[in-house]
Amino acid sequence: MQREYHDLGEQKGRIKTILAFLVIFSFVIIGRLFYLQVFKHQYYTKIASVQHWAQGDIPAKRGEIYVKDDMTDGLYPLATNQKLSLVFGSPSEMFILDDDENKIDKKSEVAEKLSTYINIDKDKLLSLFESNHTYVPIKHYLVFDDAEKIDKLELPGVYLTDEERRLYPEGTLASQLLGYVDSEGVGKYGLEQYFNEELSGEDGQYKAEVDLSKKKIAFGDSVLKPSTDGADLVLTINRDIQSQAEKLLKETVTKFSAENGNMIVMNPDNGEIIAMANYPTFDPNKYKEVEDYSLFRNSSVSDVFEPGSIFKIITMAAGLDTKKVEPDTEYDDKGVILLNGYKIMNSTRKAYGIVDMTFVIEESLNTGTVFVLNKIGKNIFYDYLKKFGFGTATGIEQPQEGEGKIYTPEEINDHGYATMTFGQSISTTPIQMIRSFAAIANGGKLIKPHLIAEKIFPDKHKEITDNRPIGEVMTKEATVKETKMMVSQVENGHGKSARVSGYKIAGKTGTAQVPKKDGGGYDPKKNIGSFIGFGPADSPRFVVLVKIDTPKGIPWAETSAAPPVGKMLDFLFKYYHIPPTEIIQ
Amino acid sequence: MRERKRKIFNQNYKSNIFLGKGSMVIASIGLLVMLGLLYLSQSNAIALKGYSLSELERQKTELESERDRLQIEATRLQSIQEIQNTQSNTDSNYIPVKKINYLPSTNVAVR
Repeated sequence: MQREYHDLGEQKGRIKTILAFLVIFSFVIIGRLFYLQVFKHQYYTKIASVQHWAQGDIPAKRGEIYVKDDMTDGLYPLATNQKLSLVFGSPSEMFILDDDENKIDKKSEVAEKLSTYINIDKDKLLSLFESNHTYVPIKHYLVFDDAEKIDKLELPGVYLTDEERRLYPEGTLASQLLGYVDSEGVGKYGLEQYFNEELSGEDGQYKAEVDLSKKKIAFGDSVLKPSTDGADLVLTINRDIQSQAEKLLKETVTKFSAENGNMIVMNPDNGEIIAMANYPTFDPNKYKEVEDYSLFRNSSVSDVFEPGSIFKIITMAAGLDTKKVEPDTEYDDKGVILLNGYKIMNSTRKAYGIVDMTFVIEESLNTGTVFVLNKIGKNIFYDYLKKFGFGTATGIEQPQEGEGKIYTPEEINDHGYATMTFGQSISTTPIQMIRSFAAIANGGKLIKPHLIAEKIFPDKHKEITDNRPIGEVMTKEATVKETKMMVSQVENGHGKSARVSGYKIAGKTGTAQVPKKDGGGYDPKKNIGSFIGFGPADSPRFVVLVKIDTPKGIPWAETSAAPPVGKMLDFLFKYYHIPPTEIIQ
Repeated sequence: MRERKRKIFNQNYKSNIFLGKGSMVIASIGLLVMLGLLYLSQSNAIALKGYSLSELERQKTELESERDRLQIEATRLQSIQEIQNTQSNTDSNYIPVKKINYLPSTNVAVR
């Protein structure tokens, strides 16, 4: 009995010990659970979330840039998006297992097989794989066929993923006008930069429940914020005319070993730019290969220059519109005018005696435009410069547009102001110059040059560019008089090489001196030849500007810049089937 | 006669269907098993549909890629440079326009 009592006591003791262990163990478990669930709550929630949920961005499609085909009304892309493949490697996975689960290195074999498909040296690939990187991009922008071939090889540690690239199917065509998109997807230069925000759209986001194999569970929870694609742009550019402009410009710049050149074709009635070419140029598909960054700039819009004699048309416009001079107004040209101790002479250094204003334009007499300035006064001349839009950006849809510089009558002396009448001591851009000539061609209206015909948004609604005139510069009567004087320049004066058989062409040559870089006067070895013409003169459909910088061995623009204008106008008349206005001799 | 038949029917009915405690448990378990099976079959069907859907999505992506690729190819073939290359590399009969003859305008009606 006694023994039983002791046994019972021992038993109770053991039970208490076990209970104590159980209690302690329970506390340990509760403590551990508390630690995991409370202190490490966020950490494990994140891990679970990664396992149960897949999330990421839904990239917005970048808007495309189109030109309209005038013959078919169809759209053709100048900038589009291309889905390509990136082949990348994971060197640590480049092995296979033998029957005994031993790793057999396959880096050399992978490098050898890949090199035949992607045109990269085997040793170069091998050194890439031998590096300690966990991820190595092997080749970007693989086309579909090549990617498929590599995929079929099933090489260990080699993977393919989609990547998108901006594609410019026409290569160099209109490249400085378009700009390019860098590897980060940001538009640089041209329209790509100017409209970067609208073209980019807005990325969306997704979050979806996934299974073990990371596939979306069909009826699982998901959160979706759809992406908004970028807007498409339709340009006023005509692809055929742009191509012809670039061809003519390249021929001219190359022929005269010039530094560079510009050509613009514009509709004078509404400001639509039909072509805008610069040479030299670049291929936006290969922008990384360009070493001279100035090639990216659209110099037709951004570069300022002293316009020279083409500016005489603006001075004469002010004189005619104020009725201070008429085409037959005469003056005595003594060949030289002395102002503030400086001489102003004609470019030929000759005196022509009694001549009229038409002769001034025909022979481009500097003394003649100074005569006009004396008639109208400096303040009125300055007002006309402002009316024509000089000294202010035109607002064309391009970044870094130049404004040029004009002076108020108080800013410079009489000599300086007089030189402004024939395009010196003043700076402007090619786009400003062609706009001012368009105002004469269209009967006196100031138009806004533009490159965008319409924007098409993802919901298909269109925003059409308002192309109505933005101001009145001069009367129609004055423009008719001036047009006749400009026709005379082409028929009888320095612009003969811009003539087109069967059509009357109005135009003006300009051979501008180039200021020295150190500011000490003009460089005697350099000049800028320019010509702006429009036609048919009675009812102008096109204004064409050509500017050739520093042609070698060519003293005057009538040899360098006028011929391509004539050739372009001839092309335009044929392209648009505009019948001749004159009897062809 | 009719009264008798009804009596027999009631007797039979009462004797054949008796819902006691055990029957209720068995019926409930049976119902739960049935619901469980139904749930399993539906889950399975949904999972299968999910895989079909994934497969269809994959096919859609592939077809879209193919469409994009063909569009790019069509664009490339229509580029001016390509047309000029084709023209110079083949015996095409393209002749540049040199002169256009326009009919003179006339006030006389043409019959």
